[in-house]
Amino acid sequence: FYFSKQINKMLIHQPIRTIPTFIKCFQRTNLFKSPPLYNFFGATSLQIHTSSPRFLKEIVTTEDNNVITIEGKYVESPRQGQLVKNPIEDKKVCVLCALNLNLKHTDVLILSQFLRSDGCILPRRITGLCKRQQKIVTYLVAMAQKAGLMPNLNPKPSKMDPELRYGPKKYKRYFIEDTIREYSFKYKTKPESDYYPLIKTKPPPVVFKLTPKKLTPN
Amino acid sequence: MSLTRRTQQWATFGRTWYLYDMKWQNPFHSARKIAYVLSGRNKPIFEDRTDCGDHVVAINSRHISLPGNEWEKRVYYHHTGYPGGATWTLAHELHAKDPTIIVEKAVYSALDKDLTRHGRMRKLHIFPDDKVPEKIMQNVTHQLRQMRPVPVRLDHIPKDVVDNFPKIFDWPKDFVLK
Repeated sequence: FYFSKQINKMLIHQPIRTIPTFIKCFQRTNLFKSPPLYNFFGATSLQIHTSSPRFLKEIVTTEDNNVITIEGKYVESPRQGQLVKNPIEDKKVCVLCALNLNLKHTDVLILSQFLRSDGCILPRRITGLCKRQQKIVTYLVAMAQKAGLMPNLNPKPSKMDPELRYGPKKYKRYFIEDTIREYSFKYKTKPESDYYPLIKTKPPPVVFKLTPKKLTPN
Repeated sequence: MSLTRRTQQWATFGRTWYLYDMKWQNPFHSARKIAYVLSGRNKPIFEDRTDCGDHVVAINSRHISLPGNEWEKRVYYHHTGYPGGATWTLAHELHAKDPTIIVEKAVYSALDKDLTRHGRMRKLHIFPDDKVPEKIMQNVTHQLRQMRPVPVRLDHIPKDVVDNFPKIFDWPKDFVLK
């Protein structure tokens, strides 16, 4: 009974694939995506991109022997020469586990790599991290965003810049990384307040001491 | 006294003026450090009842940072003495009224709870911003080290540093980034 229900769902909700795939791959590059000319209300809606989209493919025209070939070639990713090599070559170990960095919420250069330009965190299938590291990164990113350390990675109407926020949110705050459960057992840090000693009052001076008299042999 | 002996006397018993930048610092941990210096416990000539403490000029008290949600949760209690005169004000409300009060109260609680407290508080000079009167700044000679490292915002880092920073993962083959 249960399985038949699932099959029914699949039959009902199957997407209609009319667009052939070779046009679909060009569509993703936003090059041939033409804006719909008229809306339901008769108004035009243009798709304006404020940030430059990532082009997957590039159109290359080559001529030889009176034959012009136009093809869409895959573009090399801009990160080619900058990748960190996984010190443990075994692919089962994720990069952050292998590097063994003591990440803090102030390590903005590393944490911003896991975000979209929106400020949204990228999923695990793209970052390639293990489940534990992905959780740690999400918590650290949340801390950094609350502390106002990444105000340029934000959706447009937001107030990621703390100076624009209302009330207590505009004041500076910091976070303690030990509160992340996945983090606490590995990196035990000394509590900050112990770097400077508490002022202790001296005990009152001893006025007189009772000492046992020495027994001399007589 | 000879001249050398006299200068030695001035050097040991003279009051030094310290500068402490409170930007991105926790006021309660910093207060411990400041109270240590105000009481004169950093000196070998320390004696509790003699007035041997140093001056501390605390700047940028408007830019202190509290951990987590303490701005919304920390409460300061005050009673006027009259019936119905109890008030509970939150830290962010107090900070909005006067940005020096939180630091002042923190240092007051960190000092020894005896009659020397008011004398030592007079040696503390708190300013909300970088702006310090000239007469006080002329006396300042030393600086106390900050307790917490100051974080850097992403938009304050130059763009070429961000672009050339080593990347942890590469984009998958057919992935379009927004």
